[in-house]
Amino acid sequence: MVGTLQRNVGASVTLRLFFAAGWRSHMALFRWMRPSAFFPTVIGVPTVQLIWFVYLGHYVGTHPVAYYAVGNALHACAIAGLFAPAMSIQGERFSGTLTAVLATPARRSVMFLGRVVPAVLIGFLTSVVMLALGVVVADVELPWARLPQLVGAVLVTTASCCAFGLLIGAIGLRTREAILIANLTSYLMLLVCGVNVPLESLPDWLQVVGRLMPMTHGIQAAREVLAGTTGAGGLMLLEFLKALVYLGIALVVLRVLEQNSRRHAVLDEM
Amino acid sequence: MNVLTRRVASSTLVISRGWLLELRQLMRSRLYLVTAVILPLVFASLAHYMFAGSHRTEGPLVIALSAGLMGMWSTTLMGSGSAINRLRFMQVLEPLVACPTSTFLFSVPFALATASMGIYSLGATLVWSTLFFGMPVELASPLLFAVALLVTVVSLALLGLLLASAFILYPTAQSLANFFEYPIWMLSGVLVPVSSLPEPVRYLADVLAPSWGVKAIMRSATGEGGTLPAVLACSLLSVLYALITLILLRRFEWLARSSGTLALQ
Repeated sequence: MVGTLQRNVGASVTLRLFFAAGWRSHMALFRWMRPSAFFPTVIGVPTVQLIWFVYLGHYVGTHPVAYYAVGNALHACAIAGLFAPAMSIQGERFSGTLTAVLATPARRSVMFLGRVVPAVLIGFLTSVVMLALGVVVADVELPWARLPQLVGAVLVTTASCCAFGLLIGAIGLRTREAILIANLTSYLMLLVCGVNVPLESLPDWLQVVGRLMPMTHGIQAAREVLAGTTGAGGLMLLEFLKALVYLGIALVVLRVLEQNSRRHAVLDEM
Repeated sequence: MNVLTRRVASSTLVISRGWLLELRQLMRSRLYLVTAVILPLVFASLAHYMFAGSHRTEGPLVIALSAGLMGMWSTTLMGSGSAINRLRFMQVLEPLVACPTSTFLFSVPFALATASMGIYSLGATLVWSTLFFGMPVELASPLLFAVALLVTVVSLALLGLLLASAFILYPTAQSLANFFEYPIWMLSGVLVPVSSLPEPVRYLADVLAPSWGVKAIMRSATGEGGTLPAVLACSLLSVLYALITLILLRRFEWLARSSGTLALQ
């Protein structure tokens, strides 16, 4: 049943499912897509977060304030990156439409990956806005020549974060508290992903956790790009590979938990 | 028993039962408990690692208390914010608003319950800091500390409730509530003293009850003088918040009822 739609119709339907349905689901499932909720959540929260850590970093004085600005600007993509893919499944459960969605013959990978694309786009734009804020409040220097590389670093970081968000969403097939997991992950990232504390300052086991989490290598890559040193390419590649691995795991978990939930008739159980 | 005594007794009963019920509900959620366990540890570790190597003279106790208060506010904000939306989702907000008990009375226990969970957050941060960051557990005045803590918990709960009052009317207001997490940390003087803020912002901190609560907690823990005036300022501001919340809740409730949007998500 899964994917029979794709086997029997042309590529246009798959493309529509990926782009049009993905975007519409994204718009429908998030109340924060209204301007009154979008700006405080997607722009407001990262703005106050960046200002707070720059202010705290300035007070602590262990690193230049630009260090905190860049870390938190890249972490800003986590709001869209973690919460939106997680809500793409949890939101269906809350709305009581998950059973109908999973009863369709559409291929799950196309359907859910299509929902991740708007999150990547919004996450990327949020980080870009926060980097611009970093220029204003923390004197972050953005050399024009290195902008394409910086864009690459922000994009892979956001993609990796969104892939992890989809994994959280997949877990949301069996728990109603996927949003709490996303929330906890977002806070944990502030500690272990090199956002505000260099990885080297953490104990070995936390460094391992940090390296396995999304975002860590992307942030390092962005800092390398801004410092003009070499090695950013390798870090971006590593972050991209992590994104692919998370995506693969998310799709497997989605499939397994969907089958399991069908078998036990608990898809819509709250 | 006169009317006033009966009212106080019934209100106390509503608040205490509601508080217990909400605590039980929160504890039913395994994931909420895991979050409540881990979040303070994340804040404590973040604060300690950020201050490691700094020339600042804040002792580990001040850093740990600050991190604990950060966790306390986050828990309160998360819980108070979601409580009204949860009632709406469970479709019990309408019957509750329609019952003779005032909206304020049935909302207070939610905020108090989440703020009480915040006490755990502070305790966990202190234990974590003692075990892993060598923090000496020496409170200069344990009794004043307990009083300051209690007053701060109530002030956080009432501030959370003040923000949550808008949720009756605007379901999306929770997004706005999340926005207040970092500014309240900043204005309360956790990790960074309020005195280092620009002057106009300091006036804003002066009308924030938790800001006085933080001062009271820090002073009672370190033995610095001026704990009782800070406790008094925090209590007075909390009473003011309660009055404003009462007015706002009545107004928002009337608006939501008259526009028929109370149950809308």
